[in-house]
Amino acid sequence: MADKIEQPLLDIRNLKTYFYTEDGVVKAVDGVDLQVFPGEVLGLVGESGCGKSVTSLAVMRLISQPGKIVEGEIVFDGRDLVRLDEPELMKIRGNRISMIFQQPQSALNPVFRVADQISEVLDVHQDLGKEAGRARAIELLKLVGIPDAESRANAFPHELSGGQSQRVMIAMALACVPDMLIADEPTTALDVTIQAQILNLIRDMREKFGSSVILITHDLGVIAEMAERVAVMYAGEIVEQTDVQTLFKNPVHPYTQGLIGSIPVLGKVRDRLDVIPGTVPNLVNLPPGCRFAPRCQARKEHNLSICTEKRPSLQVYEEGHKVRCWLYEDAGQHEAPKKAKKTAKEKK
Amino acid sequence: MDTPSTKAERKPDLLVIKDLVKYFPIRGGLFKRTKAVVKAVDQVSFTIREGETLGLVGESGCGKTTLGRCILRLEEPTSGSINFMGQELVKLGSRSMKELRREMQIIFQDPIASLDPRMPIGNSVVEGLAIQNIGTSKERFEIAIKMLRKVGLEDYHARRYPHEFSGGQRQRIGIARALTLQPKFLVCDEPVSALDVSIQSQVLNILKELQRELGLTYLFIAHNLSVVEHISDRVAVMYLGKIVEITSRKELYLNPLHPYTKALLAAIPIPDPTLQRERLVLKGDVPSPINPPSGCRFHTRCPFVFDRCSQEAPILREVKPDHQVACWLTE
Repeated sequence: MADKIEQPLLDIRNLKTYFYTEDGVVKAVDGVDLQVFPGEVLGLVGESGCGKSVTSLAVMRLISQPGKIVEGEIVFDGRDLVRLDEPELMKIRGNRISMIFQQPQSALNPVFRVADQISEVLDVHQDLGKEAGRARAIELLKLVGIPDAESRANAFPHELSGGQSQRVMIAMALACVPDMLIADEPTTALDVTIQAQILNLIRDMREKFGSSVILITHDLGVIAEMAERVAVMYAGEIVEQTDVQTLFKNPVHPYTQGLIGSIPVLGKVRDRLDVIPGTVPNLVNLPPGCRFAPRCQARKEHNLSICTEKRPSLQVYEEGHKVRCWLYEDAGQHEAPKKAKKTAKEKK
Repeated sequence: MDTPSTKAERKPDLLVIKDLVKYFPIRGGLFKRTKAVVKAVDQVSFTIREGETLGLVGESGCGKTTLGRCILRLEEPTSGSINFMGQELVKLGSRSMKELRREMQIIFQDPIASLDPRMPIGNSVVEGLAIQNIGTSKERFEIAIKMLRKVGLEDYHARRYPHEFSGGQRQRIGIARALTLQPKFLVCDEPVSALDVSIQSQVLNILKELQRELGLTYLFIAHNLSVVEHISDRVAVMYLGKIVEITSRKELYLNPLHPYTKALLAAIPIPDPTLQRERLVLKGDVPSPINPPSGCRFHTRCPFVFDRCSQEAPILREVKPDHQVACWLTE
């Protein structure tokens, strides 16, 4: 099933994005490898501060001072975005890759009418004139389900509700039919009934336009409903990556397991929720070895010393399933207590 | 699984709320006349039984926080009655109210905003005791340490300042602070919505353990129905200032009767990709509480609306034992 012969649309290789702050170097993204294939929805899940948003901002090349991409490549459709200059990037941003944000109200310009903001995108990338741009903007507003689009087109952002603003953002993001849409917590600021509307819209739009979607969220429920493949991030690195079915059925990284066990699930009441003890490490002062080691129960159960000494690498666990954990990786003296399943190739 | 709710049914009522109303006037113009009113809480009645957790769930702006604050008289109710352990709170003078606040405390959503940044948290935690003139400062400090231990913090934390703590730790401090006066009743206003999931479960577990240990009664306010279902014995669903349904958590999940409750349940993303669910997606936005729709307030978004809904407001009625609904469909 995971047989992806096609070329990835986006191939992030060993991406490192650091922020040089007064308190020290914040290693927000530290060696991320990630592929996005054409037309798929990739979920990027993790808790606050794990680097999921910074990863997406790096793809858009929107990292600003004191942040910097220090290493790695972001290959989009054959070109390394890290090496492109600003005019080249302008041609890609909003045109081939576009983004929607968590706070739609603050992402819209408060002093322009929504139709003008949408047609600006069309003007920049497609040289559409004022009249044609406005007509297309209204068409897009209709498409994303804004009622009474002709008159709402003249509205200012403050006249819209949260859900409507997010619809406008989506209309703007889709204006140029991008190859890839990055949605950074698109529904976190919205109420659940509105969230359901927006998720439906993103699903419909993906079908209509065939764009790939990177969906960034902390909500595993949203991941289960939307994503096809999932990458779990923790403290600046990807710890597990697989298809969505496997992630929920057979998570192998102790962090993923803990995360899934710690959320209350509607209709399945348990007396106690699982707990991941402790808190997320400070990204300035990262623990040596595995970043999850200080909170990891499996490390204690198996009495592993390597976890606090050496950083594990992202290894293939089975086909289409990668994990970064010493439970499954051999190194010198260290023998993995749990073996990774053999891939189809190795069996032959 | 059933025992907590059946046990709770036999318990006496701790808090009886009747026809509670809170309107906020919007003033403007030359003489600051009232131009309109926000009907934040409108004719709400319910009871909370001793030792139970009543979950109060609803979307932003539905009035759930205002309701919680009215119960503690942090907000003066416009009308209605709040009866706490046989005492009528609405008419109580400020001195008697201050005394009664020992019995009722609140945990806020944003713990950092509710802690004094320039006060070591050991002092913040026992400020309630200081206000009530209980104990010497040394005794109070000892109580602070005892309470911090209870919520899983260490002794040395007492001398630290709020900015030195993570979000989850701050919420624990908020819980410790609320518990120092040994209250009977606790309003938890979105206590975990600002926290990451792995931290959220820590706080939820602590709240459950403390309830068992200290026999606390909770009003648990949240927008996340999964969290509410996890912690509550009974659940009240609020929409635009009105309670539309109230029943045991099991009944609410298995047999929701109000269309809004059904939509709310259907809208919650469930972390199980194999699950095929019927999608009941509500159209439109939540109307403004300034000019709420006539009749049933949900009629503008209700998929099952008929004539009567826009003309007459349904009242909350018991349709089954321990299951109240305000909807014309069930009449």
